[in-house]
Amino acid sequence: MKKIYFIITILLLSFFFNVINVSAQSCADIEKDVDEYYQITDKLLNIDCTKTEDSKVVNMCNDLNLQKNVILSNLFTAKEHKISCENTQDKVDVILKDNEENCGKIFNDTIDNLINNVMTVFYIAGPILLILFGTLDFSKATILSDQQALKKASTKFFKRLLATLALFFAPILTRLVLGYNESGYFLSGDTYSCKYNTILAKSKYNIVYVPKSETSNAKTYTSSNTGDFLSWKQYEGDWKSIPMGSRTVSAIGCLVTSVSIQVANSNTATVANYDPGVFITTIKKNGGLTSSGAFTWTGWKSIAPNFEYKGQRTVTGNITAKARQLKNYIQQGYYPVAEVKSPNCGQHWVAIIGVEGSKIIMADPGSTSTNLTASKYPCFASGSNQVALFKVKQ
Amino acid sequence: MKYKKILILMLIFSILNILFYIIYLSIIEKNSTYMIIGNSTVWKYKDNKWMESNLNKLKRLSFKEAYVYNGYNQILENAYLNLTKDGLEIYSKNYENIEMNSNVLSVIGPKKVKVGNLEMMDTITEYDEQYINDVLNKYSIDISINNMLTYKNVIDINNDGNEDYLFNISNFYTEGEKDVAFSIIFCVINNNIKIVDKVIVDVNKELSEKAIYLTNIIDYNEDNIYEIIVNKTRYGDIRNDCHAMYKYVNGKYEKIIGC
Repeated sequence: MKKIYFIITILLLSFFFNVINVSAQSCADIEKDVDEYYQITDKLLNIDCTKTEDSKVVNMCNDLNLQKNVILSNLFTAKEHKISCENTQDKVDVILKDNEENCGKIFNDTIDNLINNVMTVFYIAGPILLILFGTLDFSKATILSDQQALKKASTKFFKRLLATLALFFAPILTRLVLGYNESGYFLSGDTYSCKYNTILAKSKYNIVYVPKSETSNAKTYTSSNTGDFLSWKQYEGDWKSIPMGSRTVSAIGCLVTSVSIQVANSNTATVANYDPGVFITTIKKNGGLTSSGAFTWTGWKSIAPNFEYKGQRTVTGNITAKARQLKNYIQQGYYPVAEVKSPNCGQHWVAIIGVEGSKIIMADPGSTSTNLTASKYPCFASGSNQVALFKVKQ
Repeated sequence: MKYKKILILMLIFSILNILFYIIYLSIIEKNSTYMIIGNSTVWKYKDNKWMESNLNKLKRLSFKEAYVYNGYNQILENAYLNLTKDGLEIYSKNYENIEMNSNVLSVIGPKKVKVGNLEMMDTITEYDEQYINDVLNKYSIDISINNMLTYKNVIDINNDGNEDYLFNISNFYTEGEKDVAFSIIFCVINNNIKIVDKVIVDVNKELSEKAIYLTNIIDYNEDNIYEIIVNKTRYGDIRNDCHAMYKYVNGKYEKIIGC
């Protein structure tokens, strides 16, 4: 019996939560939705959502479209529930008209009617059958004066009563379960959906290399033709366990790996099978590392004689300002290696491969990221950072 | 019959699961405040206690409104956090991407946090040099003030109406000859030096020890006494940065949470 009480409690609780869940929208909500709708459409107008090769644009378009769908769904549902607000009604009408072709109920009227009709039959037939079978069982037991049969009839009746109740609660439960998360909310059948679909990013990598001179031959590298060097990591490959002082390349080899990437990028390596392992082993032999493993900015002459260290400069400002300064260096023929965690949050170096607008393209020996963003390296987003510059000897 | 039982059990289990999350989010988590420092550390504050949390929590907190402070007293209300593979992204209500910096601190939850201004508004004076030298002498470090990074902040740390000073001095990763690498954060409260945290290592270990940097000054418990948050980071290591928070208790700084 305890189990039965438990189930009834759960069903009642479900009903209680569902009642809260389906509370009507207020005019303030609708006003908010209208404002947000206009903001979103403005933003979508300013974004080229056909640029599917840029994953950031794709994500932004998807998010905006998702928000647009939710808002339109709210507005259509409000209309369905005949909620009318004086201040916003004109705007809502225009929005709904603009979108009526693209939006519709997830379950259209035919399916809706069919489900309603079937459910109505169940709602009527359920209690009738309950009473009918209950009466039959009880009558049979009473006529036979069979105590056992009477008890059995009571149990059966109770079970059937529960089944009937479950039938009535089924739609509520379904809505609660489907309405629990955002995707389910769209599937609940009571909402609208619009054809502002999710778009998929075309390719993962599309690195644009900014040429050394402003004039020219911008080369577009994709993941298939970049060469291996852009994906060299301090924590991978045979070189990861080469000792640097008391530690290894994997632990403190960001700077040397970054410089080895720029050697490859400048195409100045004169040895076959060049990689960070060759670079680090060579500079170790030639005093390029101190006993503690610190890089001395020398030691690679025997493998890349034309690759020269030209000292360090400071880049300042936010990411956009730094992108401008780095682009300048690249256009002057420099191969920059930037300290992205200084001056007040440690030290980590990456090779700067190019700049596209305010986007800085990097080869990061410490991660798989290819964009130098503030969310990746917050310490690079403000203040000043050191940049080591290298150049090919003319 | 067995099949029916399994179905009923599954139904009950699903309902319980839903109820658990409803109860968890609406009741248990109601009084929890999450503080996200930079793009890596997440702490939870509940029932006057700090607990370590993690960035995965943000997946659940993504749609909750956050207060974001940038370390210079600028507050952005109604912001949203989004965790991407590149780290944390912050958006305004109007979906504008807010640029992170190393001092960004985000708060999600009912607790309001007062954040001190980190801007270095004062230069290092002769008196400051004396304080710095006193600290260096205490740890037998022989170095000129010109060969280290110095940061100074003027703030009433203990709410006694007098200006106090907060210093972060470090020679980690600076150029030039050195015997030791050090990173020290200290306060001067009513002319008394209080060490918040320090790392002093032989120069051979400069690249293997974590250096410390001042990240935020906050007052989370509305007593107008500032707590200090520091970042601990190792050379070239971008995965294992961590933070610690120190509270001024009985005339000295004690770590209350973090690494």
